[in-house]
Amino acid sequence: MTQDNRLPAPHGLLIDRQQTLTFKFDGREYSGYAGDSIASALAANNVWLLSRSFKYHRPRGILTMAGQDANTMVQLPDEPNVLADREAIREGLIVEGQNYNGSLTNDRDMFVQNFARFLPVGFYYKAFYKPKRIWENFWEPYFRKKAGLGKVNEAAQEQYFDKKYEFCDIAIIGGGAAGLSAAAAAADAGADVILIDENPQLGGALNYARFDVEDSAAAALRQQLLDKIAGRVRVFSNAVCNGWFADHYLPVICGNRLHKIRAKQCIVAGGNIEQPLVFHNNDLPGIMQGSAAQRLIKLYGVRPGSRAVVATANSAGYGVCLDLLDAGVSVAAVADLRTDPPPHPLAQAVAERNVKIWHGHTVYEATPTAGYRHVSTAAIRPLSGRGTCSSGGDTLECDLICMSPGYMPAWQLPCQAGAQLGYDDTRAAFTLENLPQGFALAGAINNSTTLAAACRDGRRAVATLGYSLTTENNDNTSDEEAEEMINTDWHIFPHPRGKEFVDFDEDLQVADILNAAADGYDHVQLAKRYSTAGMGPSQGRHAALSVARLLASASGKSIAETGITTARPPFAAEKLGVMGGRHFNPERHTAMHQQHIALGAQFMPAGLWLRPAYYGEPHARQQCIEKEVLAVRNNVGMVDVSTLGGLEICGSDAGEFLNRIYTGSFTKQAVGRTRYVAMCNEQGVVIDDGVACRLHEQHYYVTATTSGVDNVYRNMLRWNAQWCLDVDISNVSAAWAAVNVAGVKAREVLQRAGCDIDLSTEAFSYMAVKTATVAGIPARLIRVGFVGEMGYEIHVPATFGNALWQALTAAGAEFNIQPFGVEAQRLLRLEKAHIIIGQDTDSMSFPHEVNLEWALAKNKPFFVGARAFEIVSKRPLQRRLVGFSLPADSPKPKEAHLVISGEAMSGRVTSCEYSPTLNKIIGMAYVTPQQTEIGTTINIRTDGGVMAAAQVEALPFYDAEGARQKL
Amino acid sequence: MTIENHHRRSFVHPLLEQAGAEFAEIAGGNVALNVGNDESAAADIIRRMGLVDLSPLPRIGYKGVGAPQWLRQQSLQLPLQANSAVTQTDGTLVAALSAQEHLLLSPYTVAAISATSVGDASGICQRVENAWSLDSAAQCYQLPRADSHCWFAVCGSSVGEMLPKLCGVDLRPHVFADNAVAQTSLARVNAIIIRQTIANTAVFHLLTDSASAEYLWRCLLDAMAEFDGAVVGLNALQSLHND
Repeated sequence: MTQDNRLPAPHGLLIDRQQTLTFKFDGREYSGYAGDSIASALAANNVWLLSRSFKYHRPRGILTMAGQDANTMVQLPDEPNVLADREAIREGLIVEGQNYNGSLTNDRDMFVQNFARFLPVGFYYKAFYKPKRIWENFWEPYFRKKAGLGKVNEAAQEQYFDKKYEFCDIAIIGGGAAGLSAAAAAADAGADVILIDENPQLGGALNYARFDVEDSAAAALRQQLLDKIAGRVRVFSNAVCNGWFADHYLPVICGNRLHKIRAKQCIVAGGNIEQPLVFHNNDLPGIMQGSAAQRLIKLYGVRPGSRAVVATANSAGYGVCLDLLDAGVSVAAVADLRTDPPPHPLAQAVAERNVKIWHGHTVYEATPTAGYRHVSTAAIRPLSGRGTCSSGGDTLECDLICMSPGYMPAWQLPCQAGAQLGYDDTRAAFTLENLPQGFALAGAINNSTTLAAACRDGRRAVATLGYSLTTENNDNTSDEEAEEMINTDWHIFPHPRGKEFVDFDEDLQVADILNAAADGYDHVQLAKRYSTAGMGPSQGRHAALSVARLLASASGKSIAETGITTARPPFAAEKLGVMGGRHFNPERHTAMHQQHIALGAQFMPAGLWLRPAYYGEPHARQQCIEKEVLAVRNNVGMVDVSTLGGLEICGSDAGEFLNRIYTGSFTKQAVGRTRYVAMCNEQGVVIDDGVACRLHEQHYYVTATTSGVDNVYRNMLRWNAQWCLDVDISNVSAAWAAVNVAGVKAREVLQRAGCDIDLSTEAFSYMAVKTATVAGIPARLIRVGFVGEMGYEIHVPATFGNALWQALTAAGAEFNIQPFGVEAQRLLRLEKAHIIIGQDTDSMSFPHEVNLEWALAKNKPFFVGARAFEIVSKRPLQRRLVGFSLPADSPKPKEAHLVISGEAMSGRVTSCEYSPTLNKIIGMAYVTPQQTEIGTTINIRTDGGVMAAAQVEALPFYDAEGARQKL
Repeated sequence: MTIENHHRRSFVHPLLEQAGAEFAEIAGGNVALNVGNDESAAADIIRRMGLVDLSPLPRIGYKGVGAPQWLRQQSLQLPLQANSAVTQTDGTLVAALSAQEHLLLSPYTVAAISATSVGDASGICQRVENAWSLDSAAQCYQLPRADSHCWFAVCGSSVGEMLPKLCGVDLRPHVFADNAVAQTSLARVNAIIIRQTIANTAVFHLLTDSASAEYLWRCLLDAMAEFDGAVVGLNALQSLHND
């Protein structure tokens, strides 16, 4: 289609006529220009029906051209509910209508409006519940099918979103005359300024509104202000400030990026929001706000109609009229709601161009073309009272009705900042008062509506924030033009046939608001929730004034007392992707990570760490694990234990500190020896374990569990803040890489790798610790037996971790050393009945329940949790961790499977695996004290409810004497 | 085997290898001198948006009540206040993380560190490390910063635009001046950030958990892509000093 409605330059500030773009809407191809929004390009092609209303499926078209309403919501392939008057066209874009049954132009669900009288406000609170079960059997499926607007494309490609912090002295929201003026004055005063504007180009109303007959003042002022800020102010265009948070924290969405702006102070110059006139059929395509028509003409070079009627209550409507005339639109009449308006040059100019002006009249009703697809006539009636009309006037054919009855200040951000909304009866306008510290308003939002006043108010706002204005900016002259009254005191005209829409989003009519009040919901907050007024996509931007006036009228309260509903962030709809931003999911790797990858490791998470679960293909998981286990039991294996927590405890009180923080005794621990450590919390519950290696009289190297070390470290710092011991605590977990070489040939491997100390049992016994070099690498060697074999835990600086792994691999080659992963390690320790904190314990596990009585020092006055444990231990034992076994061919219990006694649960499994070493299933479980005796049969309910009868066994399952680890 | 066979290896060594890095042994570490760019291209990149891995270079930390006194005894000039840094005459940077905790970063230009090798006490880090023991430094405790923390430098005219994508601290020069130190979060990883300016080029030292080095490296590359940033070697950093 051709762009029949396109106006010649200079109309169309935003479009590039050199770049023609084609796109599809509702299956048909159209062309537009680069810079066009979907809505403007369609309007250029004489397409006005953009969407269907939420409830009655009435045709809807352009209302604001400002991305502020739900009328322009369309469906893109990957995104629903896109605002057509905000989204730019691009070559090949495919746009569809949404929320219709049939087609956008012929929506079968529009019949619903014929039953509107049966669907009064709050009908869903009163209906659908009788007869019994009709809700779940009929209504819920029906509503689920009908609910929602656009459709989410679950196969959509993930987009790239990110976030960025910004800082400034003053953030100015709104780039119109006041905002630009404030920015220039603030920059002059030396402030670091960020200017945020939601439009593609700065200027606000200067870009489209008409302030003088010649239509030259706005453009000149805009250029003058732009010159003043050029290079001195950071400008965020196409950016929406979506909320105000404490300390002037402002989330600003710009495309797919969320700017998190931390401003010291804030000026909101967000302007006014033009309100619709409320009359019968005021939602038809072709009926739009005056500013929307001006945006179409000035920004996009689109003629909004061919014959128009303008309904207004201020001079702005006459500016609209002049713009329409200049764009070649015939204006049939101006209906001015004011009976005796003050003279204004714009009104005079309109009169001079022979446009019929009806003072004291309003548009009372509009009639549609077939299918309600466009407006066809406007009935102009004389006002006879508040909201009433008498006969007379005229009915005029038209395809455009422009509404300019008044404004609401853009109250959302100021109110979020704590400002209070008042109502000035003399101006019939809401006001914003009691602004918080460091927060100012400027321009039309502050009732400064003329250009000179707006500019002066912008400068004043900067001064109120404590900046000294330059002489040039310190302008105290009063405005030559008096501020006009921009609102009429009543703009709502109920109609016997209804359909005079107050809230376009939810198809709320005048009667709906009045009925809500009549039902007792006359408080604005209750009425909102009962009627859904203000709960749609436009969040009451165009309904707030009407709802407040209607409720005030119904309740007998003043409008100031009635107020409007809370405007919480976000100001505009925001995508979850914007809130999510980039995927910052920290991941920790050991120094040997690449070696594990090369060996075919399958990784598993351990806190933030990635650890090899086993080496080999996933389909052979069990065989891989068994192979690794048997290698350790029968030969030698090596496992990366770098993820173990590492803590350096230094100072003259280091021993005393460990004595207090852990359950064991450490002051007499010899240098060169290690001891098991168990940590309890204040409730006496076991929360971590490890080993403490004494390297010096004043130095312990303590290990902690991989996922528990950060908590242990925090606990240590917290406790010592109270104890004030001479001790220094450092978390060095990442600084040390560690490999445990375990198995009967571990000593030979280590010797072959080149260890410079005597590794014999006599010189280096079980539970000893020594510093040495391995393959020339400085190391701490610890003889521990977590997996139950002779083993050396070799801790080296992380930067040598890779070299250590390579050296051990090379040295172990002739012994067929087998790398093993966490799964094998867990099975090996299970055979030894070494508990894993967090797996075999829970948040209520006391030491005596998990067989750790031996780790409690009896002869020391205190350790964290001692008092609680003392109390608990005097109570009857509730449960105890025992070992159990099952034949290899039994159903295999899993962790958390229940132990059943009769009909009751008597415990649960904490660990269970098939042991290739023992050729049977082994595990540990909490059971009642009566079930702890060796040989007792416990019944475990496994998958599918299959019961497995397990025998309680003595622990450990393997090498009870511990001889192998002491070799 | 002897220790001479093993040089300190960066935590992002494999990623540098993949990027075509040329390594050289400097001060006991395998340092990437060039990374897939010719000399002039690398010099351009680092002035615009370059990422350099300095992890193999020496660094060490000390903390404790006695740490400041002991460090002064080692002839080090300490910053006057916490969260600031001061450069020693040889180029070593000493950052005060608190009144009682200091971080020493070795010089990071080839020229400055060429005289320093492992065991050579001419480098301050090595000299101080050799001098320290629990017995000789009362209430002064050594921290293995070379192993606990990776050390990256991001440089160039766009770095001030890039870092706010990862970090919530105001790092603009009039707020975060040269030798300022921030202990903060970078892409959700704890980080120490130190600012310097070399030949009018901003250089931010980033020291973060060494185990998270690969993660952070990728985060940085992603954030830098918008500015055509790239990985460069130590030689590119050196080129700033030649200006």
